[in-house]
Amino acid sequence: MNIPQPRLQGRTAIVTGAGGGIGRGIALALAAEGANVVIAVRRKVTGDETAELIAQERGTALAVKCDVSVRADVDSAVAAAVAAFGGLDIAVHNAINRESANPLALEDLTDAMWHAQASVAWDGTYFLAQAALPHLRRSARGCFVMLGSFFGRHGAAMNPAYSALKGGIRGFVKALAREWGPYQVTVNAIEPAAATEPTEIFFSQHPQLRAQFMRNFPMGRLGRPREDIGRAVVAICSDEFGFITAQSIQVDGGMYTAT
Amino acid sequence: MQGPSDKTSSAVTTVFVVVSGTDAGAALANGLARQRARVALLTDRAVETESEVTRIETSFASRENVAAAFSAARQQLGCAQVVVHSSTPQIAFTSTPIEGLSYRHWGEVVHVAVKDTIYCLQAAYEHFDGRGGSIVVFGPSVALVGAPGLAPFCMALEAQRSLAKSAARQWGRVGIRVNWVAIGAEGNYPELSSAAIPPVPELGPPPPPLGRVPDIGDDVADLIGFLSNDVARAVTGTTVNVDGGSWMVP
Repeated sequence: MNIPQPRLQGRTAIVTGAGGGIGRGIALALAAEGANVVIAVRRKVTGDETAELIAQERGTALAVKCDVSVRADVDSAVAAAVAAFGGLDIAVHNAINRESANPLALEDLTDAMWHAQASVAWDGTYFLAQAALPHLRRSARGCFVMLGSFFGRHGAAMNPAYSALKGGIRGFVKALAREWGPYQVTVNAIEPAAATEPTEIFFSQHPQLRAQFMRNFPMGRLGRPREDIGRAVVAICSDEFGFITAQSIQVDGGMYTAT
Repeated sequence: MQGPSDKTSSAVTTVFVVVSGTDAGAALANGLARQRARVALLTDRAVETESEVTRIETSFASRENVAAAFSAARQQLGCAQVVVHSSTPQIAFTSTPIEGLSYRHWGEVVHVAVKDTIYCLQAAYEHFDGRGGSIVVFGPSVALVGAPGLAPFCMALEAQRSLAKSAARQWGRVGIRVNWVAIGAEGNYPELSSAAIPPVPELGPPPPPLGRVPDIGDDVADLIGFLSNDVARAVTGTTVNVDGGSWMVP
């Protein structure tokens, strides 16, 4: 009898913003497929919680404190992954500033608001890419994964900064995939639509919008952070998907089809 | 070129061309002036324009600077019905692999380029002041396909495109339309001549299918005239790729 091996056995992944929500779901899914997971979080207590959940499933995880808008923190987190597990094969940049979920008119967007959000979503991407690349090049299957959003694809009326930040990820993915292709490192983005704590907070404050929003989903539900979004990240990092790069993949249950 | 909100009017349209970083604004401003539009070029570049174009030098360092440039243009030409914008800092064209990219380079591309666009959109919204109008944001089409060494540039351009969509959704209710135009790089952006622009995966006759790369002062100016005219009154939030058919983006 052939027992299927975990698809990511022996690989090491770092996931930013994995102290809850989608990031935690991704960390759990990666660990369930055998990856050693480094959980890089601004508040270490949340990372420890994720690590404990992974440990309960006999997985391997390490939580490190990391503000992704600070280069030294990102460098340290990557160094910790390499020191603990001997290398780095998968880097997932998921962290965002929570302010990004707040509705905002474009005419009211200030420099301070932009920098608060962009320093996490974009500068964090840049710092992680620079820190991870030497290790991803040494890996037999280096993967760089970012989290985009359907907001970036369709442009959300009341989230101009978030739309811009996530739209920018699509351009970055295409360019970086062309740049890192010769190194055999794949670069992709997942564009999720998932039930998360910020989503629930938003709909608890705007209950009249929940039913309207849910009509957008042919499958009648939002994605689950681990089972739907996390497993999509596992797939894109697996050998089966090793020839897919430069893609922003919608994992949204068919919500946005004008692509 | 007619006013964007009155298709029967023969009134001359006033256009503010607001461009930071490149000389593309001058070519476009000249082209729009040849269409009989009254044109002000708001730019941080020392470029020459035809005598019909009102040139206003400005810094894009703050929202206040851009708003002041709009006020100066309004004093000279009156209210604009059309605002055309592009922000592509010169450093953005310098092809650099991500591993060798300094934070200064990164920040001047991704943060400066997008903030310029935010400032311009905000100034346009205030300038239109409920009257409605047309905004066209443009940039090189390389953003749609990606290019090695230009990751931050492609990020910034795609962010500008998403920002334009967001503005289109938000401001449609006050009669403001916002569209994005991608321009074939060859000829129009000499700064990209040494960049590794990906070849079109087409084994037939050399691209583009139309046999030439569109000219910014002619073909693109005409398209912007169309998008800003009342005949395009139901078009907003869209992307038009003016590259002669090289990349038939899905």
